[in-house]
Amino acid sequence: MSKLDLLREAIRAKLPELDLVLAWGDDAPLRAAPLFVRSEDDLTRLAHPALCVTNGAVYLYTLRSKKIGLVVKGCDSRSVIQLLQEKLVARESLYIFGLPCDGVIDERKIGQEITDAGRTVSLTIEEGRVRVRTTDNEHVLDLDAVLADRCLRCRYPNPLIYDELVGEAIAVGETPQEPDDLDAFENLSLDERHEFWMETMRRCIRCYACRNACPMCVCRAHCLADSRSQHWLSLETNVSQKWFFQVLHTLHLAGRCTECGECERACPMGLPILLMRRKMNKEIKELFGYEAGIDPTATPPLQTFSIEEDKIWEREL
Amino acid sequence: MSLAFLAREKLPAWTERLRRDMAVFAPILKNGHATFRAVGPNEFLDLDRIPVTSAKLTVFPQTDILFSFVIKKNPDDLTQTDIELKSNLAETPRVILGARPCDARGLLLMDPVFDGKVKDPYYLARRERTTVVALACAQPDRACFCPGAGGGPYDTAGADLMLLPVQDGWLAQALTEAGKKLLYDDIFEAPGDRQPQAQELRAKAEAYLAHAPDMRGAEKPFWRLFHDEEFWDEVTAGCLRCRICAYLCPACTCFTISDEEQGLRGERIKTWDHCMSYMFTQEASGHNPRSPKAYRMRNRIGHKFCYYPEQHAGQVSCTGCGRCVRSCPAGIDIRRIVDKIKRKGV
Repeated sequence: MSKLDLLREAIRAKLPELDLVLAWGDDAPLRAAPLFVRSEDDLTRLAHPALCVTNGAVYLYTLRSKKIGLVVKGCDSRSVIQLLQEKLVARESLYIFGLPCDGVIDERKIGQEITDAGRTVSLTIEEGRVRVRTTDNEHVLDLDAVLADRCLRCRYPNPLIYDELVGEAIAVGETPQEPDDLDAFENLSLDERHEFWMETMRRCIRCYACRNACPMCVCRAHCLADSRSQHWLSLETNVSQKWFFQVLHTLHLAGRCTECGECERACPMGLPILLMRRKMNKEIKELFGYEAGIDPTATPPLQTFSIEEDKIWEREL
Repeated sequence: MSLAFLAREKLPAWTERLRRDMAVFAPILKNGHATFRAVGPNEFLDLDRIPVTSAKLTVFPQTDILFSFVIKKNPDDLTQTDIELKSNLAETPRVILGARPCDARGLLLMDPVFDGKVKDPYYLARRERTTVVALACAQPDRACFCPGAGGGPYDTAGADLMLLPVQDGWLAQALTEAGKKLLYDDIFEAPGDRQPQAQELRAKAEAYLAHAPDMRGAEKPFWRLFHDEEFWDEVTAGCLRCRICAYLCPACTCFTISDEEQGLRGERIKTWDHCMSYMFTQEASGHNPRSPKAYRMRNRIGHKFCYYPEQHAGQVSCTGCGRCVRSCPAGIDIRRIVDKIKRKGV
């Protein structure tokens, strides 16, 4: 049985005990959409795992009163762990289908490879290659060339938490090298970094898709950015307001962000905003030796403190 | 109407020439994303890709400073203040270069909102000075559905000048006097024998969109489903409540007004609002009549496909541009929602 068939059977077997199952549906040829499985009929629409880019953990907090089944890739499972850690969802209200993941396709990369990606009729994957049929053409692309960046540096293809693993776990080889975009960014001068972000923010439309697609953004209607009675941010669409929000979001995610990349994927302008979160994570790792979304019983470093931190030399300041 | 030809390599010269007399708003490419904005010196337009954003910001900017104010204290009696106001009406003439037919139609849909019983002088100041150069869509994509919203890939509604793509450039067709004025003799040439080619591309584009779902006529089914909470929960389930759909929409007109102050100075600004955000209907009392996101989605869909058409002879407040479909991070497709309404609300 294919992985998709295994998943379908696993959900079918468990569905009677659950209010709904969060999976992915085949709504569009280049990208699956979140699918809320409520009946067996919905299972006919399950999408190919390589198209399942979205992170279902983003819906858990609002659905926390229900008994939820959730299908997770490795990266998604880390968001679930983080939510459990912070007691934002309860383990007993979740049934987790773990889906070992070979990487997901970034539809924007397909758009960079072929000019008529918008007219795609179907996409099939065969032995490391992607065949894209469009209205007028047929293209064959290397799978590696169109995988999402986050998949290229993925160290956790297998879910870290689950009740049931669907299919075989993937043998994890050597830790992939981080692409050097973060190194390249760190090699820039402070002025250059500032200019990079200002130029990026000029293109931001302040739609808050980054915030809303983030599974760790649970403030919802109480976000500082939306507060009018405490006037933290103005409603102007200028660079300083947009930048203020990005910094706020990044700081709020320090030690909590699992780098699922949904912020960047959701951005309609394609802004490289995950870079900022990755940089923050790197700082957290260097300072506290901590990585988010690995251990459900850990406490994020910024939600606790030690009298004397190992790597913060406050006495010498 | 007679045609003129604009060679592909003359586009930068034409843009620069237009910039002498007016602000040019056009799609500019950056990192694979074409977005409408005011064109700076020597910036290259991208007329090939379907722009991610719509052209509406030309007449309805995301932030519009209505006026600035300074509160002045009386030095002899600090409890006495006076206020100095300075209005900020945008009066620069402007042209949208490369508005898609769906963008041009979007302007026509916004007009009755800002130029109805109540006139918005800020909108009108821009609108009356805006010339629309529309670019016919020879390559609509799978998110497009303009015929289902009353338009078409070669629809001329709302355009002053129409650009029809051909292999080596565009055939320009003036539709109004304002459009004709932009056909500078030193830039445009005789059309030659390119017309059949333009016709062929047109036929292909129209054939591609022949099966676009009709988004009109959902008013009655919508009312029948109004109280069906299960239905609205289901179609809203994946929504992340971000603002992409409204911000990219050429027909969305909702705005909010706020005073942004720093000390005794400030500005009163009009900014795009968004109906999927909780704040949209948050009342001063703390009560929110549209607290669940499904209620907000019902309002969004209702506004576009029921309330607006009921007031505007059946015309939906949607141009079928597909921008919300293309960019929705949760894969929500407005066509599917309207289709479900029409099927279920019978």
